[in-house]
Amino acid sequence: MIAKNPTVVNLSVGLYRLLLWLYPEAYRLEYGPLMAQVFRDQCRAAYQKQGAWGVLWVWYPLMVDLAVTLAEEYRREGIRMSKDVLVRYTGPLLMLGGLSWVFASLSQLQPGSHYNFWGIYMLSFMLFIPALILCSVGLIGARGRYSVRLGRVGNFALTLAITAGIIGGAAFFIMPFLGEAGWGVFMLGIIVHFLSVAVFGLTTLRSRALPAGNWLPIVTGILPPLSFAFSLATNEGDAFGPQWPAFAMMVVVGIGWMALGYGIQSDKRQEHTAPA
Amino acid sequence: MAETQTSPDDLLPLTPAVFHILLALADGEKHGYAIMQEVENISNRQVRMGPGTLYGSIKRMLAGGLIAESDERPDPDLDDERRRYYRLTEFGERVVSAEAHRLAALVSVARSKRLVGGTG
Repeated sequence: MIAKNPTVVNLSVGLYRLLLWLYPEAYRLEYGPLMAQVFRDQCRAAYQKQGAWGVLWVWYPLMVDLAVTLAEEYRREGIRMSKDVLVRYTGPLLMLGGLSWVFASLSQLQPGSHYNFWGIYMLSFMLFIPALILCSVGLIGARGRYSVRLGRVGNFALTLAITAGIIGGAAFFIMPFLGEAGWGVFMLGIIVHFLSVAVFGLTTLRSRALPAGNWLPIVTGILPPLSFAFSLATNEGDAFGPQWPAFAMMVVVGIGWMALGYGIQSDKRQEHTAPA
Repeated sequence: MAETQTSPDDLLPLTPAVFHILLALADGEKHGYAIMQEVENISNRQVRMGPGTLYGSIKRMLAGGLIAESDERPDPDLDDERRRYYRLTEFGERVVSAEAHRLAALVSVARSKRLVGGTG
């Protein structure tokens, strides 16, 4: 029995507690603490056997479990993924995705070669996937909310960003079955996702569709590809030691998503208090 | 109550998750993580449940009267945090027994067709 939880366990449980907010409220209030408790036990047992690597591998089946049971719980509650539901959760999903980006950026601080990530750096690197999926799903609600003001190009770019992000994120999970093709789908998905977000950002700058921070999407869309290109150009394929520029850019991206989510969430509150 | 009006056979076949949880509780009450560990053990690590699957199933099994909450107390083997324990109800015992008989009958058929070792 471990007397004090290791940091990687506490980090994992903290992130899982945030993800539990995606469940229906009644279910989350009743079973959320119990699910977090069980997950902590899993992480501790995995840490005892395999250290931080063990904790990392608990996340892979957990994300599948999360996706499947989320859909099941909403289906049973009679709430389909309707436009209204997605619009309501746009802000929290983008904020949660942004937070995942911030934690994922820690992987750029790994000492030594970045050809393979290890330990806690691998754990943080893996957070790119929930970050990608959460932001993509959050954008579905944003599209539902601002489609009228975005115009055809903006809506197309947003749809492309959503589709590419979800497909890219899903490809990561089924990569063991797809092999090299899965890696190609994953990379193509994230590149198309970011570039589409950047195009969406151009349209929001022009149309002022968002309640605030219309410059945020172009920042969150263009910085990741720039960061990747910068790393390739300066490291010639194999980064070594802490990559501070990449870390800083990823943190900015994460904060950008959180700010965007907060702005949209605030916009929702204002509309509810506006006179009919 | 639903369990007095529902026959165990009406609930068959059980989902793998429900059946394994009932099997895990067959020899005594357990908390969530202990159920998860027992399911892994009895399935030879082939069935692994995440927290969502576990408690989604528990929620429905409580509603169906298959299991009941027992009490909340710490597990000294883990830590001093209070944990919610679950136990099999009488109806749950009848349901898991009915499912076990159903599966045994299927295995018997498989044996008769020489798909499984042993006499048919």
